[in-house]
Amino acid sequence: MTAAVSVRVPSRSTRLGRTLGNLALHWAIVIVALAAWQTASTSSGSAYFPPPSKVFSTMWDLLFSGPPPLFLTDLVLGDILTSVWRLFAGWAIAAILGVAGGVLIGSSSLVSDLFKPVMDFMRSIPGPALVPVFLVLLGTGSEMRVSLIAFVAVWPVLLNTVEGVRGVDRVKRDTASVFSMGRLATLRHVTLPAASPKIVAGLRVAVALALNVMVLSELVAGTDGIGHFVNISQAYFRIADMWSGIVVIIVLGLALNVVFRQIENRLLRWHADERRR
Amino acid sequence: MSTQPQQPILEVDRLHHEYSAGRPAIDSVSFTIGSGELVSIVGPSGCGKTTLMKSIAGLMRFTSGTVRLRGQDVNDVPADLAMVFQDYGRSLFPWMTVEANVELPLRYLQVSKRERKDRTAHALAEVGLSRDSDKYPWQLSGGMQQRAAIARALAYRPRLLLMDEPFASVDAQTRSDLEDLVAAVHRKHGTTIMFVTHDIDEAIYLGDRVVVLTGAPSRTLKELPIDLPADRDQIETKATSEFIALRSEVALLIRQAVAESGHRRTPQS
Ligand SMILES: Nc1ncnc2c1ncn2[C@@H]1O[C@H](COP(=O)(O)OP(=O)(O)O)[C@@H](O)[C@H]1O
Ligand SMILES: [Mg+2]
Repeated sequence: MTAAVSVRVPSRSTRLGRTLGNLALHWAIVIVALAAWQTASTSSGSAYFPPPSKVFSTMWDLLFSGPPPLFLTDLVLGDILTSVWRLFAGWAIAAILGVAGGVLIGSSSLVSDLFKPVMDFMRSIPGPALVPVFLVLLGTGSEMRVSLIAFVAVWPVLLNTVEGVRGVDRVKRDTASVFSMGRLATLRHVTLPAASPKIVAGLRVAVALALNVMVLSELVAGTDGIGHFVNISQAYFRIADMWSGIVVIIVLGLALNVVFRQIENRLLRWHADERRR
Repeated sequence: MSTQPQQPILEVDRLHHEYSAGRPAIDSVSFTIGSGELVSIVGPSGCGKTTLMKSIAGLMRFTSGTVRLRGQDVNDVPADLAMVFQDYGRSLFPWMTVEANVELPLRYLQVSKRERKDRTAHALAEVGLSRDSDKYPWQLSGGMQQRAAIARALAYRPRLLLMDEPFASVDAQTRSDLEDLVAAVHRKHGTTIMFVTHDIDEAIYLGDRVVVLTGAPSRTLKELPIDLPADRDQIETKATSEFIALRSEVALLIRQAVAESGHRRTPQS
């Protein structure tokens, strides 16, 4: 098993240097973009595009002008927390159902082949199209939103889990059999770890979808949540508030991404290192 | 060494396998392995050695014939059997340290945690990996990975250890070292080993007996007892006239068999 390709692996220090360089560049771009936005909107004076300075100061007040000791406002403790909770609950349900279902379906190539078209079809349904259906079925409460998020987010998890389980190396499965490891032990120590890069990728897509559907469901038929806040602000012509809400959503998306990347790095270190060799 | 085993651990009788109907991968293979023996199975690449090994390990159903392990027909994977795969890189679990890899199968045996740790440490020491136990398999060289795979099999203390061309893809020096490791383990613990290889020297050097297979689809061609002294040395043993005579004998047999197999390509009765 000698690898024929020779890959030039950058040393740890140059890699770190490059990462820091990239980071500096990224922030430079963000700052330039904000500056451009600031000058453009100040000079145009458009009511719909307040300058970022105004948006951020509004946002600060909206978030942190509450009572001591935390200074968090009702917006944070109410709408934002509600939204985050829905997002997380929906995603968690999707994760559990997707992984469990994926393991069951993926254990048999016949069943996988049978379910493949169905899963592809279900995944292709755009979340927005389902909002009316879920409204009719489950009303406008949290259950409806959590279910909708779970429903939309489950497919990438399911599909990726099936693919990951199907793709477990034959030799690794044989190894588990030869050492008489049994079904549960094989699942826990061989199948799931081997499939984990695929599963985690599915979970990551699911998080992005969940955020989208969460916001959307609150925009369309909301009584609370951050999406609802954006909608209401727009309706009452509180444009800076509206933009603040949008920025909160963006930051939420970015934060989820960062958290996910951390988890991924921890969990899949063996995978990255194995491939880097 | 044990030339006349009383109770064979493994009996393979007229094993025949076709992956697709009418195109046999194994024609008819029969042999036995006695308790404590190291039997080398030698045959050219593609003759069905891995197929044979998987059939014995219960990893696949063969078309016909019988495989009996201590008198019992093999249907499922037998409990007291371990295997070292040709593809060591794919057989170790990259998400676990070397130590965890060795220890994992022991968790499902009826042994205490203490004994599990002991066995793992001993096995790792035996293959010379004590200092690398916290590393991950992909941090090790090919030879060291195969050592880890051997340690895993040793810690398991199988009644029968199957080794499928375990050293086919390591460099020559590592290969000699690993061969001597297997010989030492066999001598020290009396482990029963079925050692599959396409390398004639390796088969003779390690074996108490050598079973010679024909080219594809394989048949058992001949069984040779190896009457070399138990304590063998890579250079001295291989230079003895007995060794050289055995090597020529096996090489001639295989050459004949390959020539012959050209004539029986067409389906047999
Ligand atoms: N899973 C499989 N399906 C179909 N044919 C196979 C399969 N595995 C091996 N073969 C074929 O069976 C023959 C014997 O293969 P194998 O047992 O791997 O030989 P060896 O280990 O002696 O090199 C080869 O011709 C190979 O192509
Ligand atoms: Mg083979």
